Amino acid sequence: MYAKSQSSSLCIPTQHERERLMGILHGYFDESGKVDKPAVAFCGFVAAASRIQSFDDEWNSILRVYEMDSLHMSRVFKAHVPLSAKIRKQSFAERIETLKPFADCIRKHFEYGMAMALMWPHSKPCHQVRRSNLAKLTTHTILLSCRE
Amino acid sequence: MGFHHHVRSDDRISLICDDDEETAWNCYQFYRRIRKIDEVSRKHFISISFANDESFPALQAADFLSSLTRMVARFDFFRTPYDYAPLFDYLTAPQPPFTWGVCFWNKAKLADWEPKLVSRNHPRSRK
Repeated sequence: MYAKSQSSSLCIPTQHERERLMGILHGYFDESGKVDKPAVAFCGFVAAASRIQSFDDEWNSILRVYEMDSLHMSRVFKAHVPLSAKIRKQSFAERIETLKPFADCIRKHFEYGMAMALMWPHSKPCHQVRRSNLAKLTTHTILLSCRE
Repeated sequence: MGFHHHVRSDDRISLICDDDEETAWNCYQFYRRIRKIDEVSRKHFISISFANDESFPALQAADFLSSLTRMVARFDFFRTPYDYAPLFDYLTAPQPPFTWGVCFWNKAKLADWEPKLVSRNHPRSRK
């Protein structure tokens, strides 16, 4: 890791020579459901930066096999809607089988996944929970999950 | 804003948000507001940008999971039937070293947590 020109014969770098190490994690999150929906979800995945490219490559190769440009769940979950010239109208069971390679890709390349859903306070069942506290709840959930 | 209580003083956070016409401007205003009112956030949050998810497969993956999770939640909260339970189970099946954190906050859990959240009092800044 260190150059041969180190002054120490043991190649132990002195403090001023030591390079700073930095861990870079990439997290990708998305929400589902807006404020007018009774339930909202906030989910995502985390991996070391070095693993993202391999994930991207495999994901895109699956899309190419299926002759799709991208995966948009608002369309994908409608099994009766064709996704491409290759993926035509399907049954729910067939659509699930079609989507499994994407799930495999996620599980293979990412290291951590978080899925959180809550009743939205605008809906009657839990209107008493203040919106300001939902941000704390979200943070708390993420941190609790990360510590597991 | 809760995040900055858990990062080190020299950590920096860059945000990339979904370039959604409905939400992007709100996200930017929220980001500006936080940086304006909180000195510590201003130090840690150093950039924000907006991306098309077609160019970021990982965002498509997050959309995949969040859409599935909301279906599961609607069933859990309101017994709304859905057809993709096997897919959610398949995706979230234990497979070390992959780690999952899954939480569903229904009415009872939210009500239980409300007083705890109110009483949580983080220090405003951290050295």
